[in-house]
Amino acid sequence: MQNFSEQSGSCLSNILDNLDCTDLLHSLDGGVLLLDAQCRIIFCNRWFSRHTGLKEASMLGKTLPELYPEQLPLPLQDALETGCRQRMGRILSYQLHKRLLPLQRRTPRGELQPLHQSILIKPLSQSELTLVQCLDITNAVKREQHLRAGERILKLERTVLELIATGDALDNVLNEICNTVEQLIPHAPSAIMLLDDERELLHIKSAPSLPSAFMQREPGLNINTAATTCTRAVQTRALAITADIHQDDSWQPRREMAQRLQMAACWAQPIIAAFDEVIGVFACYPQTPHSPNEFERQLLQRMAHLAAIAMERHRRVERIRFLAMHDPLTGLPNRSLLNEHLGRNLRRAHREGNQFALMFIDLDGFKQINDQHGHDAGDDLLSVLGSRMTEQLRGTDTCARIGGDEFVVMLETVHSVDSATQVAEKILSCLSAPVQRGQQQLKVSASIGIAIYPDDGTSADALLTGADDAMYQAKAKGKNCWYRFN
Amino acid sequence: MDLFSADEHDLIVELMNMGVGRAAHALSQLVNDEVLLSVPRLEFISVPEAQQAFRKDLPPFLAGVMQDFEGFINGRAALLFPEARSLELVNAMIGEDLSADEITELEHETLAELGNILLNHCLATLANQLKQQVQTDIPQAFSISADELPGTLNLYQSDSENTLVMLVQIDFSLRNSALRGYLAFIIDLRSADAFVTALRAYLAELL
Repeated sequence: MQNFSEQSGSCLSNILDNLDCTDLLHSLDGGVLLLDAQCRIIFCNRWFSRHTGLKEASMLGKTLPELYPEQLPLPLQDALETGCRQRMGRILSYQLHKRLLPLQRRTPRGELQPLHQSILIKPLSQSELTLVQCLDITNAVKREQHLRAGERILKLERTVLELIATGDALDNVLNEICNTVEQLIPHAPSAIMLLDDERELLHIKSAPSLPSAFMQREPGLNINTAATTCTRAVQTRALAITADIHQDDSWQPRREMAQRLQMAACWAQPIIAAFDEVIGVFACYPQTPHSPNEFERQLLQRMAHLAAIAMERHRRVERIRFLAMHDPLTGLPNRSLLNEHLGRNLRRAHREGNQFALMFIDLDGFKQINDQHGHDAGDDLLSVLGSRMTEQLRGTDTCARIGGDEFVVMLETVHSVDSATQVAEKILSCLSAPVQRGQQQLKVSASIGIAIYPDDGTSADALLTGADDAMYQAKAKGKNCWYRFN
Repeated sequence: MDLFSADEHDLIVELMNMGVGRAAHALSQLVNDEVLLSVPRLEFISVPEAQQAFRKDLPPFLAGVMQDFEGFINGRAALLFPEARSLELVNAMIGEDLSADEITELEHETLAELGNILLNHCLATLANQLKQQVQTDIPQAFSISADELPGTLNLYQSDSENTLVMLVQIDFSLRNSALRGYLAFIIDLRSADAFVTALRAYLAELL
């Protein structure tokens, strides 16, 4: 074994002795320069000529700053000096020096692109020469950028998901999604547009980096009549791209606005919720005309998906909130929501010196309906009467169902007791009108007790108790009438 | 180790502080932000003591940068960090706020440059102030376990009788990142005479 290595050792030294060192350096896949103590190039390999576009002869005897006057970054000049003159080995890394030598390389398709590099400067021992090695790390940079971008998306996705999970306000979540995309696709403000309930108009819901003028630009984009990138995304349910707004006729009516806001392109990704329902569009407006690359396409897709999750969650929370605060049979507010409204109205009436009215309403003869016609009939009746009462009220008033056949109406403000009693009359008549249910005609009446703030009480309890007592008075007086708490 | 007198030891500490200060200045310019470096402790120890100190003081996994030097003193210098924090340091240097799982080749290069600047400034300041010459090789970054450190630093191969280790604690502070590392200078004692002579000449000039 030792024999072999001895043999091969002597063999190798023989080979090396006969090897043309210059040839070896020329065949290396990387830049090699030899500099003298004055930083002058005394050798440059073929790789260097190829990537600088300069002939070897034109480089010899020159220093790099002479070859590239005022083009070399100071740290590189400094490193060359310390390397050649002070004999200190140096490394210049890509991450700290994005621009070193102005080198270019050809892609497999033949296009020229900047060559990302790191540079090693090694003073040779037992010689005055310094070796400069230039490493092409373009591919490593690409890998790294890819890795970092992926990581950044993950991190931002996590932030957004956390916001969604902690129940942050929808607006905040959507703004954060826009901010996220803007960080990853710089110089491209973005916006989230949502379809209205009629699924006709696209309204801008979030656009944190666009002026508010854009938010209010129009009542909304009609997806059936306006042909724009965004409406196309809704119709085709796929990413719609306008690479250059100024070349796209569909942008004609909005071109001036686009110019003012420096929008050169528009990429619109549909936001698709559960059951494949398109609920809106994620739009991105780059300031230079171009189409999205693969990374940008993926990003748009993922962010539109996040927006869909946020929207879904928001809808669900709203639905849960509605169910918790409303009577499932009539859809009217329940006691909890009534208490909330009553509390709010008390504070307001106190602050503004208003009067308001509370009515306790109990149906007369409802038990018989249930007994005679069954609970389904009773339920239907309650449902119809609930709507009838609501029709008699203003949008700001509240009609709540708080028990089997008990309702409470709160008139948000009343100018006089008379205006409250007029409403009570109207309610009495709408409740006593018969309800047709198939062949059956159902008829009840109601007894109403009225309490007025502040005359009849200044707390929720006092007013509710007062109205309740008054309702019993109305019952005692023969039903189908109202009674004011004294 | 009492190779150096108290005055000589103080002088070395002062020169190291000066070198580290210059490195901090160079790094600050490079990253466009304030980099603070300080040297809380410096000691000269033998190879066995160094091995013990590494085992005791260093975390099980290390990232580092080493560089050979020759001139009025010969040896190998290294900058050592806990591996888990090295990426944080690189991120602070390049102004990114990310938590990649592992250090990539580009980050190794960045770490190499950081170590390069630091070690070069320390060695150059030492040499320049003492009116001596020193030459350094290109830096190499590495990630190793603490057990592999003596091998990496060449502690086994070199004649341990004739080797002296200068161990320097160094505190970094950069953009909300603060961490402690070590500079280890493995000095060939056969060159130590020149070192002592140069130190004495410097001190004599001061008087």
